[in-house]
Amino acid sequence: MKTINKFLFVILSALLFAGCTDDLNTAPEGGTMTADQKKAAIEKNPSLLAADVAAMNANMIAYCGVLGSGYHDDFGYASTCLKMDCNGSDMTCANIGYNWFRASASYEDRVYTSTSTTYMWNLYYKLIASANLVIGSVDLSTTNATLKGYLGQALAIRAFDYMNLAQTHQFTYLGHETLVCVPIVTEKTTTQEIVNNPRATVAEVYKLIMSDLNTSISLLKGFTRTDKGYVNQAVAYGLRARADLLMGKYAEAAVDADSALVISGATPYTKAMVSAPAFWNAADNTVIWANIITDNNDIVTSGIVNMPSHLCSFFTDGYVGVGVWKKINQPLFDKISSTDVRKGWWLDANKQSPLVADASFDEWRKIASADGSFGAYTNVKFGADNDNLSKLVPAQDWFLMRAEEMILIKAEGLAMSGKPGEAKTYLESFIQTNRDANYVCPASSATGIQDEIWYQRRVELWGEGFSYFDIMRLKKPVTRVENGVSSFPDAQKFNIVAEAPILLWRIPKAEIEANDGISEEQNNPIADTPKPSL
Amino acid sequence: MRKLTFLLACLLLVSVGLVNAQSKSISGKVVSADDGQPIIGASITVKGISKGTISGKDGGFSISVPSSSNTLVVSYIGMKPIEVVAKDGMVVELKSSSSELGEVMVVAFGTTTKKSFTGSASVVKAKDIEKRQSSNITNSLAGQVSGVQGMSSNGQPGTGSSIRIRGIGSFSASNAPLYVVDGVPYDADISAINNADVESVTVLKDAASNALYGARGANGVIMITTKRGKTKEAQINVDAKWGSNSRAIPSYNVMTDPGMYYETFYRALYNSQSASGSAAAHAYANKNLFDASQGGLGYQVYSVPNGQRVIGTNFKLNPNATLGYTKDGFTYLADNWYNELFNANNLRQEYNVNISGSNDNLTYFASVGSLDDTGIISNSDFSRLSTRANVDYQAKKWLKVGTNMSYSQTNSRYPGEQTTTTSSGNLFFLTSNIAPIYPLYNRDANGNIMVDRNGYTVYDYGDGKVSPAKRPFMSQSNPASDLALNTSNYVSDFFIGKWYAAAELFTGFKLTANLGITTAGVRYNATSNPFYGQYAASGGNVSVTQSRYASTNTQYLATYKKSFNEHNFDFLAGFESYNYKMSDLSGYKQKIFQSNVAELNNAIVLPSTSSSTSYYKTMGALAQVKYDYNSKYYASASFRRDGSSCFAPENRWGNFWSVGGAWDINKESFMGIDQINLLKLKVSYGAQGNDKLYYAGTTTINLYPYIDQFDVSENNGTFAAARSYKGNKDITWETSYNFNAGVDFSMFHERLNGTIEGFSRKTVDMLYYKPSPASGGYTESAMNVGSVRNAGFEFDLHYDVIKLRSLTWNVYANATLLKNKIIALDPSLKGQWIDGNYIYKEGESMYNFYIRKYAGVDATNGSALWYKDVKDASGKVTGQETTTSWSLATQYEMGDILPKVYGGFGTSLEAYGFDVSVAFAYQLGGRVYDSSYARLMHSGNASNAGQNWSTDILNAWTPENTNTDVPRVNSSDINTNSVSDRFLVSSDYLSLQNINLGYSLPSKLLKKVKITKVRIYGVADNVGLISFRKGLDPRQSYTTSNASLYTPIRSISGGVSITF
Repeated sequence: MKTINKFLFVILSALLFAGCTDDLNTAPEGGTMTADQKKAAIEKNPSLLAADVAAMNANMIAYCGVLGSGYHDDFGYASTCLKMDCNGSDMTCANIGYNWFRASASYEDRVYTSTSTTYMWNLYYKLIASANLVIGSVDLSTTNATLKGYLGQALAIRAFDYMNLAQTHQFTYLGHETLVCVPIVTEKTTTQEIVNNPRATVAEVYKLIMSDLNTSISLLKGFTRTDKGYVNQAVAYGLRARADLLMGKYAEAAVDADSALVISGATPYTKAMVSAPAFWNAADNTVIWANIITDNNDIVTSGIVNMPSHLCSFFTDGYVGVGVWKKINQPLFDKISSTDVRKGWWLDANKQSPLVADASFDEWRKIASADGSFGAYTNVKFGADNDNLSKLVPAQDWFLMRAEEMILIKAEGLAMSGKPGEAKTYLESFIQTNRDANYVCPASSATGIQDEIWYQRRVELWGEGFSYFDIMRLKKPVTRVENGVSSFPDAQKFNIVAEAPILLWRIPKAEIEANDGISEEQNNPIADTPKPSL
Repeated sequence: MRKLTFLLACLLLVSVGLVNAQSKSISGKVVSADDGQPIIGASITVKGISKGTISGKDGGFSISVPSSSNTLVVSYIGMKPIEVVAKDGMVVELKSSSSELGEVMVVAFGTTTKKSFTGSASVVKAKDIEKRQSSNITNSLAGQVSGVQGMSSNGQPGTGSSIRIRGIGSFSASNAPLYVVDGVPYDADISAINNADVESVTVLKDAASNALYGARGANGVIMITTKRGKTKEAQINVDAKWGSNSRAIPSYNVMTDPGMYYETFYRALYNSQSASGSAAAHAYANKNLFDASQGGLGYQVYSVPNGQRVIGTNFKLNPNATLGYTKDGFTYLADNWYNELFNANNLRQEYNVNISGSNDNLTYFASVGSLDDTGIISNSDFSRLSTRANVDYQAKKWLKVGTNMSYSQTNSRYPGEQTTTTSSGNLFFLTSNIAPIYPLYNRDANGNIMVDRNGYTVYDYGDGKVSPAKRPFMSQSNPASDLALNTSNYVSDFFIGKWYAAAELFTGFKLTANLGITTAGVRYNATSNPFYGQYAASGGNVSVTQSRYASTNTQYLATYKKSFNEHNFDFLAGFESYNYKMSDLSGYKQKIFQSNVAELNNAIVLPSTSSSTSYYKTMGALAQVKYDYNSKYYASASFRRDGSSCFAPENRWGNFWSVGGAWDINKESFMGIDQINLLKLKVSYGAQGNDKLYYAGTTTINLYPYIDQFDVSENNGTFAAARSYKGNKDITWETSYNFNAGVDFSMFHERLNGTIEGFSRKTVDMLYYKPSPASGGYTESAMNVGSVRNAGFEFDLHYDVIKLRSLTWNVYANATLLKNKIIALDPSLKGQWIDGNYIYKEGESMYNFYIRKYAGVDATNGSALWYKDVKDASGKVTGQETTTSWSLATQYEMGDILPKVYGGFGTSLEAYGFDVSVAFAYQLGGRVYDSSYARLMHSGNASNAGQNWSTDILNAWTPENTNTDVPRVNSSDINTNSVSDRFLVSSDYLSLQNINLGYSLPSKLLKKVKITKVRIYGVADNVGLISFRKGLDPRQSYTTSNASLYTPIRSISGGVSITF
């Protein structure tokens, strides 16, 4: 009897315990999501497939998505724009430890183990990978309108990223077609090919860019996007206009830029609109394509790891508030006509600008002035989110393409394709109507107009990530000191001749280590950082 | 689960008092020879047939003795087992013995004695644990036993050390050992366990010891066993100690004289322009010295007569300069931040009370402890209230049930950022690096420290917001003020419970079920103040996080002991499953109403919330057989098959095993040497697994490395699902093959005890992230590839130099010699993998720097020089030259940097009631990158403006001082102190870990007041450290030392311990 009791106890216990065990299949809830979970969710709700497309946009504004947390310059595409602008001759900033873009101003960012070099490579290729995921999941011959839209967007975004890579890692297309550029990774590239993938030539990369854009333009015909964060046919035309310009196809550039304007219906900011701080709202009619950033995005909630923190003078809670005010270089400021509304985009030598003369800016001026580095030539171009100075949220949208750029491309395209007269009239009409009533284009030759347009681009697109691309495309020197005048910090007062090797970004060491197709010798050459001359 | 608890509770309640009597037996009693008290729970077996019973009420037992054998073996934990002739009515006296040989030790799924143990394990006993005053038991292990290293990169009270057992076996996976508390795997915070409750810590080092935890035992196992009742009479221990904390590691030798700093910085500015001529360079330096936006310092703290320079063209401070400079209603004075902030004597107090004993068939241990450790900086204190109840009950002759339950509550004010190297919130970083010219406080025109309307001291943030001055270094930052005004608080509850029932169905055959439950809830509340600093403009902010950790572990074990003549068998088979769940919920808002209320409803704008849950499960079947022949030859074999949820179903299961053997030579007839008490050879080999792959570059475990992972985020109102991790479905267990051979010995009447072992641990199928070209869209891919070997020797020696009744003197020493070597990497890497400043190369150590070589100073101009390979046209290296360009210099392999040997030694002396002990730890033969020193040897570049210098910079090159290896200061040099072997220094250290000094009152005196023991003592921890350079702490990591981390705490306390 006793033994039976014992066994009964054991069996009973075992049954109870058995209820506690389970199989080993687990899945995360929140935080991360596995591919299986994603697939299951999309099967239940096919419209979620759009999340893959939106991922391409999300990756452009990801919080610490490339370098990891702790890198406060890791906030997406806008960060590369700031790096490139700080390389140039038009944007200055105090030489202090809080300036995350200091290494770009001094060209220390060209050390190929630096995080900047890594960023300029890894970010673009990460964006390409997200585009490739979409491209690979849609059949090119699809007739489904939604899927055609997805594919068209992904192709355009891939072209955009290769265009950025091509312009930063090799000299511009014209005259350098046969030089090595960057490795090409498409949706067809296998994991074996990735680890042995040599640098394609400039011509090959541009061939892919053009082919992607051509296909994209035909796929996106009639495609309606949900918001300006997505690519539509106008954006694809605009991107092709940029590529045309790079490849010297000027007539095509003018046509494509015009298509972008017509299809998007975008019109330039009026004089009134830019007589106040602006450039924060993608809904503005000037915007063709933008990174739309909402309050609860990680880069916004991070507080300081975002574009406004480093660029917008009104976001005093960020890095600007501790002295990294982004300023225009004095020689360029001095060139701007006093009747040009854009003169007010920067404080003058007396720290004044009509844009912030209003009493509503008094409180801001008080806060800003408390910072010793605040002062002359500080930009007031980029406004506070919702123009709200009392509730500072760093959620300003980041413009990727706007009407003014297309207008200037069209003007340049016309000038360079044998229609300088038409170009001059077109440019004057735009500037007179929208920026400076007294404007007269000082040049009439094709290249003279091209140079004038370069000046207009430097002013109009200041801080928006175009200055370095223009220096490279137009084979211009970096001129920070003009006739002894410069507002760069002393240690960064240097000029660089056109197409100097230091201008090229290098391929990161980690890529060379892991990619058998590229050797140390095949990297862009090491160049000494420029030395200041007083 | 509720059912289960209920059932066991019933068993506890109902079955009390039911004891079956044996009819045909002899009876006896077990008592302690020390105090004559009965011992409950002693094991009594008939020799040779492993048939036995347990002493019960009053130490009494009865056992049936067959005619074939008449010898009983009586044993009890902590007592010397003895063999006695069975006699009815016998009284067996057990002596508590200093002998370790027969002492019961805790091993995987059971106990053994040191004598019969075939594996490799080290035990740290309560006696030694009690000597240390640490808030986390992992900090008590360094130097105590061989094979164990503790790395501590955070001294915040309550935080522990990273324990590494016999080296490093993984690249990208965890190298942490598995913690097992009272037989149950434990993943919660170790600081939840009160050190005073711990009976022993057993470190299992070889395959034979930890194969039964095979699945997760690749990096060794640390078994923490809590105390149980031992005596019949209730014993009450009270221990109280009070002491003070101070910073254990001093600062580097840095400048403290403001004038010296200005002079040096002036020279750096001058040197940057010296090419433009002396006059221009002086003008430049004078103009920019105080201009923070031009790479200058921002603050002037000297007054000079009108029109005079602060620093003259002779590079010297103006002799007319006086300290203190008043401008715009503010006075600028330099403060010594270090002295201001670290001089406080912070209190540490700890109280422990426990009661233990036994009654009828019940043994019990109950404790309550209270600890309050205030750390060494304000608002960084840790307090813990802990309770424990351990109960074992012999419910039936055949059924024993028991429970260990502990509940503890910790409250940790844990300021963030104190280990984030360059964070503006890190007090340690700032005090280590701020130039001696900056004020800590804002002072008014009269030089008085300002106080605001709230009564808060107005600290200087260097951001121009109070006074107009701006610091180039860490402007808008003042960690002292942040620590005073911000809050950061973790309140945690830990419940750790274990229940078991063991049924002996027939003689020698036992079934045991164990259930372990651990639950931890942590609530984190933090505010950033709305008055000063970074978040003042946005009105302050609040964050709250609630997380919950829960794990359950179930084990079913069947054991069977059988003896035939001299052949003794011990079988074990079992099943174990482990479930882990971790959830958290957090919220954040800005703009707070009440500055001190860290709750979300106290704030109004920019809310953000998140929550997530993750799971982890393992399951395994295990079997073991142990055999011995006449306690002379031992053999054991074990096998375990385990599945982990971390791997894809088809790659989930791994097989782990071990074999071991031992030979007690002393038992052989040819030995019989009186002076030798034990001479045992042992050898073992086996395989264990590791499934804990981290996310690349982090220490967060990737629970799903086999599958692509996506982050879902909002993109203007729609979903975006971006891939965050590229999975590899083939990922499976990393396996360590562990060989161990050694000898355990005991000589001279057990006065010299020791172990010498050789080991080789080879990790194969390593879980690691193979670097992948970023052009593919991801920078690494998880793989099982490559192997690493850790091989070495270790010894542990204890010698009782004097062993008299009233005088004992013991010395001990241990050492581990270790060599780490990469055996193989992924073939595609062609033998080496360079990862930034590290190189991983087949045949070399995993810890191998790949950095530039410093070539000294160019005597003509003071530039730093580095070596560079000269290559011919074909790229072949033909020679070496020096270069002034750091970027162009070649990176070289630096060789193994790991210490060749590490360990500890110490001594203890007891005489006439007095006792004293000291413990040291050391390591030798390694190197470490002294990153803090590198930072303190900067060139005066704008990015370093306002950062302090080591006084070694005074030896920098100048035209007058050309024979030096310290380059010139020059504010346009950017790479002077960049990473090179110039800062790779010896990591040798000797640390005085602990001193104990006590006096026990004579027991004669105490007997009158019915007190067993009173000991009055003093204790000091982290007493001193000798390392290559003052300020350098090589115990933080294998690779770098960094003075920007919360430093270890030196605690000096006095206390009293009373036993009733």
